[in-house]
Amino acid sequence: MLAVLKSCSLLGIKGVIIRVEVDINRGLPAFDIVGLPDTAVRESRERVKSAIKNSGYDFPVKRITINLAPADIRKIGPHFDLAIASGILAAQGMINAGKISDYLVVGELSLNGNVQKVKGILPMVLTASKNDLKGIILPAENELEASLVEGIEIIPVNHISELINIFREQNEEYKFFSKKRNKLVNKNIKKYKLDFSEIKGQHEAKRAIEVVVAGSHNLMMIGPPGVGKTMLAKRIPTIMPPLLKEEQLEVSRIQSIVGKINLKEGLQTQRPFRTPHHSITAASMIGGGKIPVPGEISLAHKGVLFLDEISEYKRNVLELLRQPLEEKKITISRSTMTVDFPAEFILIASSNPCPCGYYGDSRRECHCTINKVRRYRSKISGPLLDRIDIQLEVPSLSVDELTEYKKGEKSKNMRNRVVSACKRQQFRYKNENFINNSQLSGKDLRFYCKLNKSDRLLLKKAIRELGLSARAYDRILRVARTIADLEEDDNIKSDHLAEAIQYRRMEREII
Amino acid sequence: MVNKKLDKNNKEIGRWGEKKAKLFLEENGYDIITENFQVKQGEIDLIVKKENFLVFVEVKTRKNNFFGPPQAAVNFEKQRKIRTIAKIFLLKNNFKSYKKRFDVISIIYDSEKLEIEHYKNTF
Repeated sequence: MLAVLKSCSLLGIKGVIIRVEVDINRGLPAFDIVGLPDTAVRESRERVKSAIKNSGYDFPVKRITINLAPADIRKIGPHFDLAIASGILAAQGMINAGKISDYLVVGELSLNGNVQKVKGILPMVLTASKNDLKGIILPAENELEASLVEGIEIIPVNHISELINIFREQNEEYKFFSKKRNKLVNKNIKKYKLDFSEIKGQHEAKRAIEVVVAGSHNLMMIGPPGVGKTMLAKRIPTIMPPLLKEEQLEVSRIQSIVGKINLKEGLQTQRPFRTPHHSITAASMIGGGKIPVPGEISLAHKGVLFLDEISEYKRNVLELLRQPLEEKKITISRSTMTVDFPAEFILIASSNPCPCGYYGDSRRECHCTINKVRRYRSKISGPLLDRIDIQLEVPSLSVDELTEYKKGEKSKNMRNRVVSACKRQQFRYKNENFINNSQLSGKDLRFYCKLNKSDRLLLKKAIRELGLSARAYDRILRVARTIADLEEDDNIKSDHLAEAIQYRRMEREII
Repeated sequence: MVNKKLDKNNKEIGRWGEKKAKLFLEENGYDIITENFQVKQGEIDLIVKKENFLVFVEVKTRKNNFFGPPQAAVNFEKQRKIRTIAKIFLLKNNFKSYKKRFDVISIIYDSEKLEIEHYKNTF
């Protein structure tokens, strides 16, 4: 008696259909799973056995062989439980094998037969719909997440007996309920407790942050302790433009894989803001594992990755950021497979200027030796710094500024400017395959960032005197383009270019 | 060994089941070669032959299904043991021209009925 069902495995952010073949034979009782199962999959034997028994059905005293095909893909995760259990029931003729094989079956079983939620539902549902399956049978807790995908039947089950009732052999009549989808409405802009108006002074820093967010550039803030670098960074989410429709699904998909998706308030429209601690390892930063899972840079996709005290991070971890900063994706190679994760993020870093923290401060004296300062700064390598478009000094405030009662500019106003600059970019690039200035390259860069003769001379001079690289040249042009967008100018003017050049401060600084 | 009486009882049931299995095999055209082939490693309940097959048979008898079916008790450890004893048997006797097979016969016996199941070529 053979039954073949379909389940799903994840490779990167893509799903692969896995055939769950269940064969039940006469012979000494045995229960084997073949087809490169990992520990959690092999353990599913015990869960499936108990779940079937404890739901009041007989577990066959026969020779059961399960094959997970294709056999060359390593299967991990507990979500095969439900498919294996259903396959055993189908092979015995307790449920209709023909009917259930039109569906993708995923879910973890508990010993009492309850179906528990699993990670990565969103990519799995997308796989089901791409492969023209009728629908997906999944844990009830994952229903909301699955309903993000339209045009596919979703059968949520709480307990394995529900599945048996629906697919019972005699049950010809059963009308598959096309339940009304919970409409996931995009709620209004989230209310933040924080606001940029709480920050006094620091106008230059706020302006730079606006440019960074508007054009998806990278930012490094350098300043003595307590001037508000972290405070500024924490308020960045309040001015980020909402995710575009197609971006929402892409972001949700990555969150689904790591099981961090939260849909109680509707589909996520907020851009992610990730703040990993500096003890982070290489694998959790860029993603990794035997079957690679996304790391912080992919979780920050379409959003911000904030590295506070960047010089405290392990050097090898920081250097790993170089490729994704250019390519906007990360390729993770393991002996068994190579997967790509998207990693299009804004890097925002903060650092002190020297070990004691007060180098160049107007109010306190620095007591580091030059060598100490050099060693401290060399933690951030040239190649990494080269990729940071805006390097900004955040000075300490004067006593007058500090005690001033006047509030700063509100996040709302800043956000409006950012959103309109983003809209200008989207409009300009509507026939291209990119949507913001930071993605300009090569031919497109020259086409969209035309300079007049005097500006070209200005840039030439800057390049020569600051010793900038070819990459820095490109990046200056991109930042200038964003500044022009913020000023609602169609062409880059010399003011814009000059501002962009002066943002590359670290390269200028001579100790 | 706490309850000697029960222990003896189980042994008796086992012997009784082996007799039943022997009759069952004879009815089905098997020739009995040895009963209870014993070496220091253990014993094989029945060694029989039919056509070109030499068959080592393990007989499991139970009064009920409370602890799972009899055949489930033939686990890997037991299988390994039987294989070892079978090798010793083959060293002592010449059956080179025969194909070898391991079978399990499960017998469930209670006051009303007797169920005999024959599982061929099990391990």
